[in-house]
Order: sequence, then structure tokens, then C-alpha cells
Amino acid sequence: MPTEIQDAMLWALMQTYTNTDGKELLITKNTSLQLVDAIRQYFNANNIDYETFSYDDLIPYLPN
Amino acid sequence: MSLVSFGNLLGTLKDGVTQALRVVSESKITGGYSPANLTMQNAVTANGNGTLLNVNEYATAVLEVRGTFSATINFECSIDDTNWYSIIATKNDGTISSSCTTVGLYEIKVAAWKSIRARVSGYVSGNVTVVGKVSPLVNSEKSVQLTGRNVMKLIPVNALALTDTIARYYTVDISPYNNITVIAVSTLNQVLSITPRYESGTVMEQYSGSSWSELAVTMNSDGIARYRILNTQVPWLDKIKSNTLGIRIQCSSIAPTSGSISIYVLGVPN
Repeated sequence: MPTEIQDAMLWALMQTYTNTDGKELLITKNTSLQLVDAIRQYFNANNIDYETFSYDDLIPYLPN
Repeated sequence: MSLVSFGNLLGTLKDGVTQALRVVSESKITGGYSPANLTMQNAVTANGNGTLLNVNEYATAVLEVRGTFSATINFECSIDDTNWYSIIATKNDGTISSSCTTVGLYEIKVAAWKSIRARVSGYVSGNVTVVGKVSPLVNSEKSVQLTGRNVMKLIPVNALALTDTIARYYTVDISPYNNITVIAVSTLNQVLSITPRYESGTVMEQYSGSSWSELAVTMNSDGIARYRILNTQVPWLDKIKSNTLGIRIQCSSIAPTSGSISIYVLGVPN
């Protein structure tokens, strides 16, 4: 994972997503799809190179 | 102990017994147990979601649509009562659809879902009544057994953020399960193909009447996490008896730059 993963994790866990009912919900370590998408969004926005990764790759960086 | 506190104690005990009986009665019972019918829409004269039918631990739901109306009844399922998705129903005349505009009996496979609803939309006139009934996961046993909830959720692909067009292969041990439901959700911003396979390393072709071909599910996301039941497009998933299930995924044309893909396998143990 890129060295910026910790910053990306902190940022991602403060973001929200909208479900299909239109409800805005907080991204948590249990919303794996939304968490990965947000991490990717952070990498893209900050021009950080990364390879294919999954939620399993994020587990070491999840907060307790 | 006063009479009041003794009465409270009796009430507590009664509630406890009632609760225990309720838990038992809600458990999966093989041998034909089914709860009473539930009125999901009661002569409604407007659009609305209606009352949810709890299908947890049940295999099949049958909805009877009654009334004289001009409206659409949408069959929808959920695993969390928050996100709802269309589900296929088979009418008593054999036609298949995820919605209806006429009265009749509609059978829906509901194993692994939490709830279903019959949402009314496009209401024009008349009144709509929908009554739902569920049947147990297993009803071929002659003896009665209490087994409780027992649906396992496997996640062979857990939020994979693809960045290339390389094909990837996954293997799921499905030997402990009597039947499986495969669900995919993609937010990838490119077209993705998912190909289930009977055991990894094989190709599973179906005959269309003129040729053999492998069935692949194509997902083209708009960024919203939509869950799709692969069994509805790959019917042999309903019948598979195997030690393993192979899954091939690939964005073959253009590498995605955002989003991810997850695949869930819900299994009912043997």
C-alpha cells in the first residue's frame, strides 16, 4: 500500500456515503465497499500511485 | 414479598415463557411449519411500501395479489430493511417478472433474504390487496426438527479496487452448503464481467438451443452500490452440487479508476 494509507484512512473514516434510499451514512470500518472507494478517492485526488487492492489489504491500517 | 411484587414476578415469568415460545416458533422447523398469512397491502388506494414480510429462514414466499386496480406492484427484497432490490417472482401461470399489474399468485424464492415487500407504484385507480405467506427452508422431512437460523455468508471478493484489465480467479468452498445465492455489488466505473464456474479451473457452458456458451454477468455501475443476484442470470447456481465454486472477474476493456467490487455467497448448510 502507498505510504499515505494512514492519512487516507483517517480521511475516509470521516466521509459519508448515500445509500439507495437516499440516506446519508457515515463510512466505517464495517462498510468495506464504501471505505475502499473512499480510500481510492483520496489516492486519486492526491495523485498517489497505487495498484489493485482490496479491503483485506486495509485491515492492518484500520483503527482499533 | 408483597402481592404487587409477586404479581410482577409472575408477569416477568409469563413474559419469559412467552418469549421463549415465540423464539421457538420463529425457528426454522422442518416438516411443514408456516406462520400465518400477512396482509402486506390492505385495499390501498395510493402508492406505498406496505408492510414488510419477514422471510428470514424461509425458502419461499407466495404473495396473493387481490383487488380491482390500475397500479404496479413491485416485488422487492432486502437483507437489512434499508436497501431494497427487485426480485423475480413466478406467477401461477408460469410468467416471470419483478412486478405485476394483475391479480394472481406470485411465488418468490427468498432463501437468505431478511424481508420482502410488495411496493405499489404508478397508482391510478381501484384498490390493491397483497397477502403474503412463507414456507420453511426444508419441508420434505417427515420428522419435526428445530434448527434455528443457519445461513452462512462468505465474501470471496471483499471490496476489490481493480486498477487493471487482468482477469482474476477466486475459489469458494461450497461443500458444506445445500444451496447457494451469489450476490455481487460493484461501484467500479467500468464494465465488469463476472463468470461463475462449476469448480475452479473449469468452464461452465450452457446450451442455448443452437450453441454452447459460458454465461457471464456484466455489471456497468453508475457509482451506486447496487446488489445483484447472480442466480437470476445464471440459473445453474440454484442447482449446483459441488465442492467448490469458481469465480472469474475482469474489466476486459478499460481499467477502472474508481470504485470496487464485492461478491458474497450466502449458503444454507447441508
